[in-house]
Amino acid sequence: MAAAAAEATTDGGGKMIILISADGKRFEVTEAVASQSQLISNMIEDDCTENGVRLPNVDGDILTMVVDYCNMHAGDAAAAGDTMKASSTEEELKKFDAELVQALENPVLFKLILAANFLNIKSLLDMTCQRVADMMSGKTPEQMRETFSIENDFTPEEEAAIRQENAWAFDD
Amino acid sequence: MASASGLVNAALPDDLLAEVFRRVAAAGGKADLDSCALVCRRWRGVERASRRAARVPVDGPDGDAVVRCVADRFPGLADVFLDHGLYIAAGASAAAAERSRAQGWDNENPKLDEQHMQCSTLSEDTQKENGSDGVNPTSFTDAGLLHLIEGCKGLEKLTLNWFLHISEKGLVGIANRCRNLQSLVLSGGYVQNHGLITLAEGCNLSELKLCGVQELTDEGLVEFVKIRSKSLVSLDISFCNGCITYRSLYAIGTYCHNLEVLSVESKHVNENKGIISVAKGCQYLKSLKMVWLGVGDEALEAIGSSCSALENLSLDNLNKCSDRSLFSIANGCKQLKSLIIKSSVKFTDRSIERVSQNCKMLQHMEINMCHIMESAALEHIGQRCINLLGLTLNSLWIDNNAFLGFGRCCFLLKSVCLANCCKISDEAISHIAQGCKNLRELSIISCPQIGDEALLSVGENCKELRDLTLHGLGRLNDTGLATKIGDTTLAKVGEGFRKLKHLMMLRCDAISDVGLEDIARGCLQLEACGVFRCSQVTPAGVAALAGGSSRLQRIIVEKCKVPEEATGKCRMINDPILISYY
Repeated sequence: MAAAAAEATTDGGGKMIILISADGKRFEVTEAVASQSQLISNMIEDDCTENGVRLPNVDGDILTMVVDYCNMHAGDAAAAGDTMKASSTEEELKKFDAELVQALENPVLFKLILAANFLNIKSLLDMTCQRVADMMSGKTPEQMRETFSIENDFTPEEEAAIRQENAWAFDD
Repeated sequence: MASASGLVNAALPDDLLAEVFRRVAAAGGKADLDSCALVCRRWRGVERASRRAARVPVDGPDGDAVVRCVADRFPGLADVFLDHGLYIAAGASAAAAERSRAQGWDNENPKLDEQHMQCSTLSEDTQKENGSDGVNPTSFTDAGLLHLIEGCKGLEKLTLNWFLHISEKGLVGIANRCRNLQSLVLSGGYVQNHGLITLAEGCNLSELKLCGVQELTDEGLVEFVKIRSKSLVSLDISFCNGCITYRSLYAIGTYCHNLEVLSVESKHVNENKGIISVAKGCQYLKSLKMVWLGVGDEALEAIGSSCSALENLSLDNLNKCSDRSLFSIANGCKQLKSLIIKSSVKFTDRSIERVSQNCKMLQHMEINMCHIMESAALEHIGQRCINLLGLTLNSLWIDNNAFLGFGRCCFLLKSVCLANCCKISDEAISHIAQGCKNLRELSIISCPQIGDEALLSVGENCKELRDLTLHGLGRLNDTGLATKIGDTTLAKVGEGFRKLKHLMMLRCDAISDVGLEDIARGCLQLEACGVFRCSQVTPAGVAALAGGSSRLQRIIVEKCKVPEEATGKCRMINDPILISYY
C-alpha cells in the first residue's frame, strides 16, 4: 500500500490527502487519485481536506480496496496521452478490475458497493453492481434465493399474483 | 454468508438494489426481472417500483383493467407500449412476416419478429381466445389511459397501438399530466387537430410518430410543428388518410430547424415547394424517407444542394423523380450511409453509377422493383462502395455479372438479401460467397434458379454465417427447372455452417427429413429453426431436428407436424418451446 502511494506521489506530483477509515486506518493518496471520488473531489474544491478526510462509513479493509482501485485507474488517466501505453494499460486495468470483483465474497462485495456509492465513484459502483446483476441473470427465483441466502416469504396466493402481473407486461 | 450483514437484504438499501435490477434489465431483460420479483417481498417491491419499460396488451374485454393494474404495480415505468395483443403474439407476427414475404416485400424488420417470438407461450392462448379471424374489439378507453398517466408520472416514451376508443379527452390528459414525455407514437386511431395541438402545448416532445391516424388534417399538424419548433427532432407520418399535403411540409421547413429525422408517406403531396422548404430549413437533417410523394426532380435537387449532412435516404414510389434527382443527391450528399430506392421506373444505371462514384461512405443499399436498372449499375456499386455492410436487392432484372464487383471489393459485407431476382443463378451467390467471407446474414427468397451449388459455396466460404433464410426455393421443381435445394445440400449446410444460429426454410419442397437430420447433426449452435410449408417434412424429421443442437429453443412448424415425443425430448434438454401455427 505504502509503495503504491509513494509511486503515485512521483507520478502525479500533486498534493497529498489523508483518508481515514472507520477503524482509524490512514491512507495517503494524491489529489488526482482521491478525486475519482466525486465526494472527495467536492471536498477538495471546498478546501476542507486539510486535517484528513474521515470516512466513518468505510472500514479499513474496504478502503484498502477502494484506494487500490483508484490508484490503478488514476495511472490510466495520466497515461491517456500516450496511445500505445494507454492501450496496454487498458488491458491491464480490465484484468485488474475483473480479478478484483470476481474474487470477492458476497458480504465484501456488498460493502464495496456501499463504499462506492458513499464515495460516489461511478465506475466502481457500475462494476460492482454489474457483478451482483450477473449473479442474478438467467437464474430461477429459487436459484436466486439460494445464491443470496434469502427466505421465501410469499404465500402461494401472492406468488400466483406476481406471476399474473408478470404476464401483463411483455418484453419490449 | 451466514452473518446477517452478509445478506443482500441487510446490506443493500432499496436504491442500490434498484441499481442492480437496472443492470439485470439491461443484460437479460424481462424474464430475469420477473424472476427477481418472485424472490421475496422486498425484491418484489423494489423491482416493481424501478421497472422502466413494459409492453402491455390492451385488447380483450378488460383492456382498461389490465392497464390500471400495470399502472398500480409499476409506478416507475418510463417507456410504455400499449399494444394489441395479437401484434405481440408470436403467431400473428410470424404469419404477417410470412404474408409479407410471400408478396415479395421482404423482411423490413426481422429483429422485431424475433422479439415478438419470445412471447410465444402466451401467443397460443391469445390466439385461442381471440378466435381464428384475429379481429378483437379493444376495450381500452380514456379511463384506462388516464389511470396509466396518474400511476406512472415519469413517462418519457408512450406508444399507443390500435387505440380506437381513445378520444380527445385521453390526449388532453397526456398533455396535462405527462410533463416528461419526449416521445409519442400514435398508431391506428383517431386524433383530432385540437388534441394534437394540446399535446404540443403540454409536452416537450422531441419525437412524434403518427401512423394510420384518422381525422387529423394539415391544420393540426402545422400548428403542432409551429409550437414544437425548437424541440422536435424526429417526425414520422404515414397512412394518415390524406391529411398531409405540401402545407405541412412547408411548415416543417419553416419552423423545425432542429429536425434530424423526417419520414413522410402521403399521396396528397403534389407540389415541390414543401420538400424544397424542408431542404432549406432543416440543415441538420440526417434521415429522410419519402413514400408516395408526388414530388419531382426539383425537390430532390433542393435536398441534394442543401442537406449535406444527410446519412439515410429512402426514395419509395416517387414516380416523378428521374436520374436528375439521384445525380443531385450523389453530388451533394457525400455523407450518405444508407440509400433505399423502391419502385421506380425512371432511375437508370447512369445515376447509380454516379452514386457509386461520389458516395464512398455507403454502408447499406437497397434497390427494390426498379425495372430498368441493369447489372452494370450494381457492378459499379460493388467495385466502388467498398464500405458496404448490407445489400438488399428485390425484383430486379439483373444477371450474375451484377455480383462480380461485390465479390471482388466488398469484403466487409455482412448482410445480403436477394428476393425475386429471376435471372440470377448459383454463380451469383458464389461470387458473393467467395469474396465476402464475413457474411453473417443471408436471405434468398423466390429466386427460382438458385439451388444446391449456391449453398455449397456459401457453406464452404462463409464460416461466420449466423442467419440463413431460404424461401420458395424448389417451388419450381414441377415446371421443369432442374435446380432445387436437396437433402445433399443440407448435409453440407450442417458441415459448413457451424456457427449458424437461425435457419428459416419456407416452401422448400425438395427438403425432407433426411435434410433435417443433417442439420441436427451439423448445426450445433442452432437456436431457432423454422421449417414451414415444406411439403416433404414429416413429424419424424422435426423430432430429429429437436434432438440436435442443445441450444435450440424454438422450432417453427405447422401444428400437424409437431411430434409428441419431440415436445418431451426438447423440454428435457433446454426447455425449448415448440410453437405451432395453423
